[in-house]
Amino acid sequence: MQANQLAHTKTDDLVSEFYHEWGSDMSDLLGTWDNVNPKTGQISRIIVTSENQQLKLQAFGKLNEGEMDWGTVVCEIFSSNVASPTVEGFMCRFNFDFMHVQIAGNMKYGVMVIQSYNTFTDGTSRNNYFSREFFCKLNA
Amino acid sequence: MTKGTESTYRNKLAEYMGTWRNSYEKARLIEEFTFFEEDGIMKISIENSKESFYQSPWTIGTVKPHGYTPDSNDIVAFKGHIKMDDMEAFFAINENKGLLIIAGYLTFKDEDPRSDCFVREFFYKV
Repeated sequence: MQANQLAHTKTDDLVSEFYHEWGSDMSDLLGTWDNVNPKTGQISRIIVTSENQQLKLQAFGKLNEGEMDWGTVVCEIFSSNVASPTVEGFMCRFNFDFMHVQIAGNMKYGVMVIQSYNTFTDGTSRNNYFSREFFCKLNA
Repeated sequence: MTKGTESTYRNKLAEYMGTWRNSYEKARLIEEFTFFEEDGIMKISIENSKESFYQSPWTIGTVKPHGYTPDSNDIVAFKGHIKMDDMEAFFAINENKGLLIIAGYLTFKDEDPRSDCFVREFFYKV
């Protein structure tokens, strides 16, 4: 099939004639990422691993005392364009009894930028909210 | 500082003191920098990155803290200036949730053929 015959909604959905399968390079994302803001009330730490070409993310929520392990979830991965082999973004979701947290992450000059969209499902009057914070490999 | 308590301001300033490292391993200019105080004046020392397009050693520069509003005693940004034989650098530095972002404007001397340039790099506290 010709590249321009692929289903698309915009030009950037199409692969170029130079495209060929590269696979996905996740290496830049792997490791332990610490929130650079020690006073954060959000995610304090993230551990990113890969297994069978899947990107997995374990998050830890900052508490007044210590942190809460949210567990590990599989991420949907994204490159900066359809032909790029390098993974530069990801999305994943943590589901709790009373809320869910949608995570959208991307890399920017060695910084992992994490946006979280926090939705309460427990019927309380708390507003849903989002946050955007920065993570680095502090102990690298 | 025009308002607020001296101790609050000093505590905030102390949080910034020390070494900040570039988040990007292929940094264009600065590997890391250090804020320190000398004779009551805030100063900055800079180390070039391995791949820096500017390879001369930096002299010590001066830094001035800035708050978000005229009546606040917080510190959210810094203005830095370094003067060297071949170049002058102006740094606009702001804090964003634990990250320091440096926008640097490098101006080479008139007779120098190098183009004046702009860099923007991200740093975390070591």
